Amino acid sequence: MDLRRMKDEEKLDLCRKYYLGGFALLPFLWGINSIWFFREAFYRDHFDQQKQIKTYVIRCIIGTIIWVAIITTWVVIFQKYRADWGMIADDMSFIIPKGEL
Amino acid sequence: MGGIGFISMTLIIYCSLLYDTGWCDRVHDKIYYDVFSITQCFRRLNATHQVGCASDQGGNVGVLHYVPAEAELNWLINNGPHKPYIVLLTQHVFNGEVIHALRKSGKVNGVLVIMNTTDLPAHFSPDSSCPNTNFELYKGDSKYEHCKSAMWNPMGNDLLMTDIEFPIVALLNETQISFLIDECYEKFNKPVNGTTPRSYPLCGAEIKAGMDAVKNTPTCINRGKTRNLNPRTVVLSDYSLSVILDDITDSVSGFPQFSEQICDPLGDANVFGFLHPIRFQNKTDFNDTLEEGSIIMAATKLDATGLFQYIVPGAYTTVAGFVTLLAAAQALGSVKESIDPVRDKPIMFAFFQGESFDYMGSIRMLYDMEHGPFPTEVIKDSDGPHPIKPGHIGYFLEVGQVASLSGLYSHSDPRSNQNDTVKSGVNKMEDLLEKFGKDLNISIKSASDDLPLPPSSLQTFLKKINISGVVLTDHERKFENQFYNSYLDLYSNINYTATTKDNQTEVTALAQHLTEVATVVARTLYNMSTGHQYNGSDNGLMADSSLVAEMLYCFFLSPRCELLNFTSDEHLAKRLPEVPFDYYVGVERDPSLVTLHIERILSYFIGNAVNLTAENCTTYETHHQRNPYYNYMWMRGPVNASSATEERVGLCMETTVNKSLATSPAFIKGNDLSGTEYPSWSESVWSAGIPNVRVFLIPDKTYEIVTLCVGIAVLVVSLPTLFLFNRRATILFLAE
Repeated sequence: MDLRRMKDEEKLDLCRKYYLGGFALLPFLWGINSIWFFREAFYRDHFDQQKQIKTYVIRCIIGTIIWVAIITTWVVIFQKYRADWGMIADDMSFIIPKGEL
Repeated sequence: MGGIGFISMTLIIYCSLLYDTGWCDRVHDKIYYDVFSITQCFRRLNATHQVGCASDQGGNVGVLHYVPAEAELNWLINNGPHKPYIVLLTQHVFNGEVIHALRKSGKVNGVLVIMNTTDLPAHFSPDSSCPNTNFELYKGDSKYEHCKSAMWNPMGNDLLMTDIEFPIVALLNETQISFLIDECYEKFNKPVNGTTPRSYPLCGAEIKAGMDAVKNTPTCINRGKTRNLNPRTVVLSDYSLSVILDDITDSVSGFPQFSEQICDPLGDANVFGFLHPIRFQNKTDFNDTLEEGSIIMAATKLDATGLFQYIVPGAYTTVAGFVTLLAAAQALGSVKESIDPVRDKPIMFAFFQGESFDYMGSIRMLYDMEHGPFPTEVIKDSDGPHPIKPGHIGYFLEVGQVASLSGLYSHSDPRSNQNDTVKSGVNKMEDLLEKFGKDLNISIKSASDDLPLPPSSLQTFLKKINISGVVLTDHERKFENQFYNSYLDLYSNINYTATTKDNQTEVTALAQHLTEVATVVARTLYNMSTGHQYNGSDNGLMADSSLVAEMLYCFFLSPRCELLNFTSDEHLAKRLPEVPFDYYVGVERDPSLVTLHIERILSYFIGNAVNLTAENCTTYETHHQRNPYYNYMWMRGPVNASSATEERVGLCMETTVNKSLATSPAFIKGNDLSGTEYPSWSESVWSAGIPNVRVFLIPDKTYEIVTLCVGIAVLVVSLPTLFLFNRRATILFLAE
């Protein structure tokens, strides 16, 4: 999809869809949305839908930051305590390093 | 486009040709010297621990340091500046204390041991000083547990049960060993005047012996089962030999066949057989007609273990014992017509596998008896052998380590002996052993009353049933064997002089001794069964000394002996190994050759030769229709005397001998692996396949850094240069 060829109302529609889609525990949609529409929201000259796009993008950025924080914390905790948790952690793992606890 | 494809194809082909001709190898050869003839210590796991050795997944590298005598260790531990080290030890220095000192120093990344079968240390036993204490009979007994009243294996240094942080590798080839010492250590690493360390370049060694499994058996079994994203390797072994394998895979059907296992359960098969098949007395309702406590079990173990893969000679630990029991079985087999199948007590021979690992073979057989069907399924409305329950066993005579030429001791359990019935049975057996021993000038005393049982399969049975059991050994309070479960448990330690291929039946002192012990065992069993002595011949019941000599030759020196050639079928005969057997039980998916041969030898000794063709003999359906009490086994038989070639006439044996699984019940689906009830020993999968050792020169650190910097500098300079060239390409190349 090429944003340059889209009409502004279509852009808003798309931006909203990504924003709403992110609530289905899909943080990547928010991440993509915040980058994709960043220029539209903050740099482009004013247009009618800009304010709403801006709201969505800001919310997406906040959502993304929260998700990154959550995931990072989990990854750190998991990596740190995986060996101690034993079999529960093994069952949660996709790839278990060989020859290591 | 096609041109580029063609050029790259040519390049690939050219390169692979170069590789084959060794051009590509040259750089490798210039850097490394590969040490091929090695065998290594590897990792095993039980319910709670990992034991043994492993390198890092990528291999362990260190500066090679040769320690010919213990005194020179101090320099390495206190002064050696070039850590980590790979330490090269002679056999005399290689012992438990040294390994622990090296572990404590934190400077050592691996150990190489120079193996030598002639210049032995005084003792070396890597097993625990109280073997198999985790599954002993005396657990929780304040007086006897953990060998409190008798330390059976005082030489045990416990290395087998220790989790060693670095790899230990034994070197077998003298040329390679002297390369390591002369070309590597002496030239580059040996401290000047014995104290001043040398400077770089130093000679380093790398050991790759990575192990995949960690922590304990439950963990690695669970990891193997986890359906994860790891690339799967197909686990396939040589199925052709494995008559028992089908049963094995059934019993562990909890493990997916094609998943990535990172450890394999230890296991194999027990061999057992009866002098006469035990039949139902009443064939209409198949009620239990076997008298409680009537079976006399004659048992021994089939396996030993050691630190290094493939080097488990087990001469004293196990071979002498099972050869003795086989010889006793042969003696009884030759007179079995005089033992009544109904009136006299049945005799059962049992050869347990995997006993070195917490008695797993006997534990499994007892489990099979309890949970049935044992020995085979009873098919209603058809004839078949009587099932055996643990309660049917009344007497147990175990042959332990018996190779020492001095006197023997009969051990019994002081706790069971408090029961009068048990005690009278024990006394009867001990009296018979002593009496028959005296007839042959062997002193067989009963061991002191305050002694518990030495490590033995009998302990497993006494945990569950009250039976009169005696263990026959050559020691009283501690093992005479200085190399229990060791890689140095060689026949030369037990006064066995090697006989030659043409002289396989020559009776050596050891063969004579074991024949006498076998005779005593056979006579005792005969008397226990019938209540009187054998009176069919003038000399009484005798074991065959030349047969014992032959068995010793087969099991000590060369499996390509006449007896094994005789008892093997065509397929097995082709697979008789050139080198002596290895008595490690191994993983269950790799059936042990020893087990298969013991089954055949026992069948030959106590079975009946029948006149059947090879085809009829081996066809399952026909023999099952014929006689459900027996298995039929085809052997190559004796060499045809009238034929000029090595052609054999063939022989069909009708036999009660069979195998049953010796894998711990812990691995049966539904049982737990936590090791409270059953042992759960497993062996880790080896990461890189074949472990390897290589040596090379380690340059100075500054030299390494300079090389790296120069490389980076060249890269940095080349990028703008190339950019400029590209820009000014028109000057260099004529513009069109």
